[in-house]
Amino acid sequence: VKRADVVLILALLVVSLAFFAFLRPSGDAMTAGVYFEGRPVHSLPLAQDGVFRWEDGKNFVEVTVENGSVSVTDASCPDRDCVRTGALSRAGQSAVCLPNRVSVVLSGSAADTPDAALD
Amino acid sequence: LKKLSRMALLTAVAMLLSWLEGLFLPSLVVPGVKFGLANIVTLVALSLFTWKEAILISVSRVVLSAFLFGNLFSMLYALAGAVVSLCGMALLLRTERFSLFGVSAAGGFLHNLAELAVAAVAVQTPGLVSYLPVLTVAGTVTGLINALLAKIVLTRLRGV
Repeated sequence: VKRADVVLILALLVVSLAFFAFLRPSGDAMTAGVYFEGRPVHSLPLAQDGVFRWEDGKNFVEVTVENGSVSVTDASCPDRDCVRTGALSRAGQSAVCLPNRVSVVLSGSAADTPDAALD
Repeated sequence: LKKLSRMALLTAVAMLLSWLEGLFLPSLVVPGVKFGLANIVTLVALSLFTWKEAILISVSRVVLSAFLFGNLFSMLYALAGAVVSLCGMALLLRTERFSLFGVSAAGGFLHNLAELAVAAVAVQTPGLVSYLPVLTVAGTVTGLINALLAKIVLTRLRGV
């Protein structure tokens, strides 16, 4: 490891921090992100009721936004843990469908409550 | 010819790594955060061959993996990430100021930056962008881990 490396790595972290400071989510716009294999495929604003159906061949996950909360309402997986997770309304909460490799994560300005991710 | 077979071998190893990673390390705990183990191969390729050959390996890995295990959508992400991070890493290596660690950390950073840029355009959500710092920090850290692994591989390879 050279000194230039240390400088470079620190610079990368500082830039990340700058992103963090400048790219705060605006207002109370809570968003439910739908991820497949960790990559975002869709996002739904919580302020607006709506349904998104993710499909990949025979697999599907149905995500519903209603009254300011989001829930997985149907899925092709056998255990249906994601459906049983119920409605999410706080930032950091998530519903995960392991067999389909799909996850739904809530994000928004209320994400500042760090323990939300732990419950 | 020897070079060609070595490059093919590296491509196969890279595909295997990204497949295994998808199997055993699902990025569900923190969405979007992956180790990017295939990047080890990219680092090895950059060290052993020229950047042109490294990019060839990288792109064939992404395209072949997408056809085998993924879909067009995930290929677009992966391709953007792979190409941007590889160009960045090649440039950094060229300056000869940085070791594999700095290069790989920057690669991880750029990879996630590019992927999120594609995501922001594809999904059309400003909310996604707020996720950027998490991804770039994660990319930097996993980049360092990958550099360590690549270093070990390279030391072993030298004996062959």
